Amino acid sequence: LTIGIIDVLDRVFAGPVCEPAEWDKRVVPGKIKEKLTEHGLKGTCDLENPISTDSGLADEFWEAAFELAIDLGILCLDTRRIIKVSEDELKDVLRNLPTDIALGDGRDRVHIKIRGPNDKLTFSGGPFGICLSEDLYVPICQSAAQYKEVDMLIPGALETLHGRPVRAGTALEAMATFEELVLAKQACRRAGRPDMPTTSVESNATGIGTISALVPWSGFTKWDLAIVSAPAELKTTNYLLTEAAHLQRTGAPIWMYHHSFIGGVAGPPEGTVLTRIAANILFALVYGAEYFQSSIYDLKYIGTCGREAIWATNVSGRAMARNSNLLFCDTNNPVAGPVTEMMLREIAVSAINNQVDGASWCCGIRSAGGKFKDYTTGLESKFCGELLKAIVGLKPADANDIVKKIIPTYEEYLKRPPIGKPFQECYNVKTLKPTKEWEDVYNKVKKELIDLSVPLDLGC
Amino acid sequence: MTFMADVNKILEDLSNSVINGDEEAAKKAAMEALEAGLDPIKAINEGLSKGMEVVGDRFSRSEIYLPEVMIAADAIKASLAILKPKIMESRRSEVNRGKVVIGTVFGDIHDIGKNLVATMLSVSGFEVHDLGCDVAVQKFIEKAEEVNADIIAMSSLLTPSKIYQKDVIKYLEDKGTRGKYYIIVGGGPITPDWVKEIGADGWGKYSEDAVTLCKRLVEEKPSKPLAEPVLVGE
Repeated sequence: LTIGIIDVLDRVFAGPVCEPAEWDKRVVPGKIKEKLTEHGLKGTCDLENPISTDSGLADEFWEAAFELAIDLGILCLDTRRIIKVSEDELKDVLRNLPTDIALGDGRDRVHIKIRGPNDKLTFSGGPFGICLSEDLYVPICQSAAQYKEVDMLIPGALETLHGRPVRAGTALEAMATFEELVLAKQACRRAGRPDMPTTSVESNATGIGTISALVPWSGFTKWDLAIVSAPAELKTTNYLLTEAAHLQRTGAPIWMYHHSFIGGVAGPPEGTVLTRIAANILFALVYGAEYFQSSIYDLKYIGTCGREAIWATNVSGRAMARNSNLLFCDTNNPVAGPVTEMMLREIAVSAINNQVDGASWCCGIRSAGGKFKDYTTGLESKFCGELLKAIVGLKPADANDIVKKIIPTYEEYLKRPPIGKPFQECYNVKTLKPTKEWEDVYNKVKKELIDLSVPLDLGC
Repeated sequence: MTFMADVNKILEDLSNSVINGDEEAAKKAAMEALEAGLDPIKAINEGLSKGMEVVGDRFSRSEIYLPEVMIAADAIKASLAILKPKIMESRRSEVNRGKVVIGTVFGDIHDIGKNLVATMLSVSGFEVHDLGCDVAVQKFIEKAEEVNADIIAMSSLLTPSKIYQKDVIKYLEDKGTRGKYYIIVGGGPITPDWVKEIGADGWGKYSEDAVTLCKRLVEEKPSKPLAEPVLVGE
């Protein structure tokens, strides 16, 4: 029953034919509607209670999503053929997933594991794919790595290399990703955490970058995470499969990353619950992935912190945690930027949801929606890490009460959020200390959370 | 049934074919419109456009989602393929908002933002030529030349791919044809500063902003390239 990458490739070239437009317009949406109807899941999104306490609902979504995975499979955009999988194959892959993987080494070692409500989430913090200036790359990464609340470093993307713009699919992509890993490791060393695990590279647009950088001579180890990033929840390409084949041979655990969009192909929030789960199950099989990161974005504001997105993230997380050993994480994607109260409130809602939805790890921070060069600092990662530690053991019903008080403070601004300030305007780039203005904002929001009974300490 | 009743029924059928995303019904209603001697421009403006408005409203209220809008766009295209050739040359500009060549730039296979903009432009009356994802610089230009486009629209989600937006503009400049097209850009990492830096003509924050931007460009017809880009939704 166990199938490997070679078997997957057989199906890439021989599976049923389907045009991508047909897949997006009719095949996937039609099957999602069918599953939501069959399982009585239509209209279950509860906007008044973004954090669900209904385990039965989560289990029903799991059943529907598992069926969806079998019925659909994954479309290869290059060959325009569907990689179909059987129920037995999916059950086999789920049965054999690891439940605890160690990353990093020495005193920087951390574990991503199946977690109980009284275990702290492992937190991967840093500039998370945000475009960074070459000269600020190390200081920005180090500004996150220096905080003990950050367990793993997720670096940013280099905009230029030696002053030249990085171009996907060229030698510059290969060189830039290699350099990113070298610089990220340098940032960890400078922070006094030489064996801190790093989570991949961020300028790997075409696969050239992954294959160039994720090799031992860049500093990459098998105790780091290696990313394969899909364009959408139920699609793949030849070069993503090439990345997976390469990574399987490095011995490093493969980290699968994809998004579902409320309003997109999956339709309503309930549809994205299904696609998020189904895609994770399928990517475990197709790529041999062992860690799963998937965000549920809302197309209305391209973010993840509104009511519908939090609800869908919560229910899909709860479904996976209760029914599988998928080591999944949620992504912390605030649309507001550094030095704004809104960004910290968005981070808080996302982190609180992450703690109670059963995820094994948390990854962030995509400050200012990840759109603006250098709009990212270490302080938001510290804030998220502190919060995750403070809320260990929080019950879903209590979490729901807290987020219901925070979301109304920012939801009307999600479409036009304040983008805040870039790193160099809110951090001393030499001492890597935040400005007083930024520290004051951070303490103000922490005080708000303390007033909501979250046991945080003030101070930076 | 009176002639007026016939006309109203046909206009309603055209509108409903869009709302229901029914390509066959859209073709049938378009044929009936022509057979009844209905002015094709009236059929478009009072039939298809009414349906488009309903679809747009439902999408903005999250009553329907991207797939339904894409299917509605297909119905519109099917109907227009029958109606447009029957419009007198002198009156075609009344229904042709403009031609847009759109795609996600080289090295990037993310398509949801591009699909959304392409669909919203289609249902807003633009003739959209969607090149898909991972589109090489020259392909944008070849297609724009082939269809005599008004606008080249480029999407990018990835930092190492967005530079190809600049490459398209630079290529057109070096070829001496920059002044033929409005160039608009969008996508995750695309900011107003980037738009100015690369010399593009416009940017929209969301898909509805992209439609507003394209309408403004083709209606106001500012000289190309624009000295300052039009930024909608900033």
